[in-house]
Amino acid sequence: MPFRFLEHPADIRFECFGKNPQELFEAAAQALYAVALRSYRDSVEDSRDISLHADGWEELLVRWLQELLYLLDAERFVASHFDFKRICDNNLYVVAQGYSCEPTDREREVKAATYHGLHLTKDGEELRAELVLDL
Amino acid sequence: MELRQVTDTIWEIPRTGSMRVPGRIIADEKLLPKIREDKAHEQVANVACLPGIVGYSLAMPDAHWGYGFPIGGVAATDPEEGGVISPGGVGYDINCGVRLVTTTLRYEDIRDRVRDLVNALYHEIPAGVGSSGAIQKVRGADLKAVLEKGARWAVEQGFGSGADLEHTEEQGCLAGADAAAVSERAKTRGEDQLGTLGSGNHFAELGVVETLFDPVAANVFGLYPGGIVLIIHSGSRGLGYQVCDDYIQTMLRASAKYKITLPDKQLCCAPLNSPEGKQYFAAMAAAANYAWANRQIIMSLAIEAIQKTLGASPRELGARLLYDVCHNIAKLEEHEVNGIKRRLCVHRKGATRAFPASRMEVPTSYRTVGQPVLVPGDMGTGSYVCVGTEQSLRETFGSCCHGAGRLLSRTAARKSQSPNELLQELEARGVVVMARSKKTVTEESPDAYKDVDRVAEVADRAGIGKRVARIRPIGVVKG
Repeated sequence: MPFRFLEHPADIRFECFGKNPQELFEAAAQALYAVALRSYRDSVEDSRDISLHADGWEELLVRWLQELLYLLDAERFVASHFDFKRICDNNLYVVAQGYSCEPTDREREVKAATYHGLHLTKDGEELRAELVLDL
Repeated sequence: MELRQVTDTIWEIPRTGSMRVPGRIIADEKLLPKIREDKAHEQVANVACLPGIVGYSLAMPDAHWGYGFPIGGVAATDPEEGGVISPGGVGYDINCGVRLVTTTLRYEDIRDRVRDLVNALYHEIPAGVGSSGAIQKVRGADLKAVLEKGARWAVEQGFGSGADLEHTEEQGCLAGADAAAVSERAKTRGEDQLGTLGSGNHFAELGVVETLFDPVAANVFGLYPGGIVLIIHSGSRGLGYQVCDDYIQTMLRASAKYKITLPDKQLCCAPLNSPEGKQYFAAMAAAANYAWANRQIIMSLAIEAIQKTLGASPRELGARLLYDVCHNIAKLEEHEVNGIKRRLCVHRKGATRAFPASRMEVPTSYRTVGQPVLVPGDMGTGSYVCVGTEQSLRETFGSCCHGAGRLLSRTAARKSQSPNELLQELEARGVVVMARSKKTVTEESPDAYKDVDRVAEVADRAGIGKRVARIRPIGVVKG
């Protein structure tokens, strides 16, 4: 798995990895779903266009997770496949394919992805991000 | 980082670097090491850097590491001196709070019916992640009314009575709320979650009054040994989370615009008197009002479930709202600083208002003793009803702890016991628990929390909240 959970006294802290921004953002999405969902299916029944703007990679990553949380909470949409049409340090455009989940598919209520302790680093060929989710 | 002992319950972080005021942690020698291990004291120091902060950046005895502010953090800023408001100082669950209902039932009346009662609460109160409300979707003008009228809206719909409002902080409606400041996204998230408990540490609990520390205040509050109480812990649900998220984006830009340098992005803020600050306050107040309506509805559903299960009339149950407090909020309050009365913006992030009898904000019926302070502990140990004091007004801007505070991470809590083992252990202790998520049960196990008895004792010894009664849980519903 391209992510790993780290210790945090109250909430969820994780690190995720990727060889490029697409992989890193997809890994962060997988970590989010691993926290929020009881079961995660590889289904494609529906899709959403996701277009975001931000001031830099770190803000873009938080906004990405916030968008996925909104879709999960308000529309019950879970993304299982991501087609990154465009991604750079201040915007992205992604076609997310996925499915509609049931309340019973959900495990925990993730309130938000936070900016606290947010780190984005590059080690050789690998990108690494560390985030805290508020539960 | 240096921590200087001031008294046996006050530890000071001297002002260094960009700190504008010193920090103060209310703890004793047993609670302090964990607070330091969590690095919550570093977050207290970070909060001390906020523009316009006055007095001290404070942490309550249940403090632990949060994001931006520590959980258990209190900070007051002066808007007349450029004082800021920070969404991170309120949190995502705006007006997360607790209410406690007393009844005329005694433990011996329901000893054999506890499982039935927990089962009824579990089925009648929508709970868990993604649950929908007890009432149909609330949209448009109705949602606007919820956001601007708070608990009163719920009473107008038949949930509870007007008397409940008198025993709710701010009468269940924070002034200055503006539904137009709440985004459509936030409204969408909130439209089908009104009257839902949520998950995580939110709960509905039946408890029995076990020990009285202050019989006079207990009598005024309607608490008596062996009496059955209902405790509800919930907040503003997805609507509040979205409001916080929306305004963190706004405040990130505002911090740059007003040239505010911060040690943690999550502390992003704007002067309260700026357009951004005013708009956030209006949206936060609206979300707070949603939370009060939410708890009012949940309470009404719970009371109905108990009456139905026991076949009791409202008169026979004698349910009465003792008080409802919020513990994630920013409020405008008058406080005396260095002998001068100032109108301050008090952020309480995981902290409860604890006003003494002298304050006009305290309900008339409690004006002889002070404001009830509700301190829920973990689901296996106990909870406290305390009372606000003059000392808390002087030393912590009238604030006290909001719970036990976490001790173990969720991962560590899950490793310590299986859900079934834990449920059996709780049953052996006399607590019936029903939960929608087994992971939540273990993550919220008693071992995951600090000793609430010590936290309450330290708050009492520090003089920021005097203990009135201890309540033992007998039945718990978790999301």
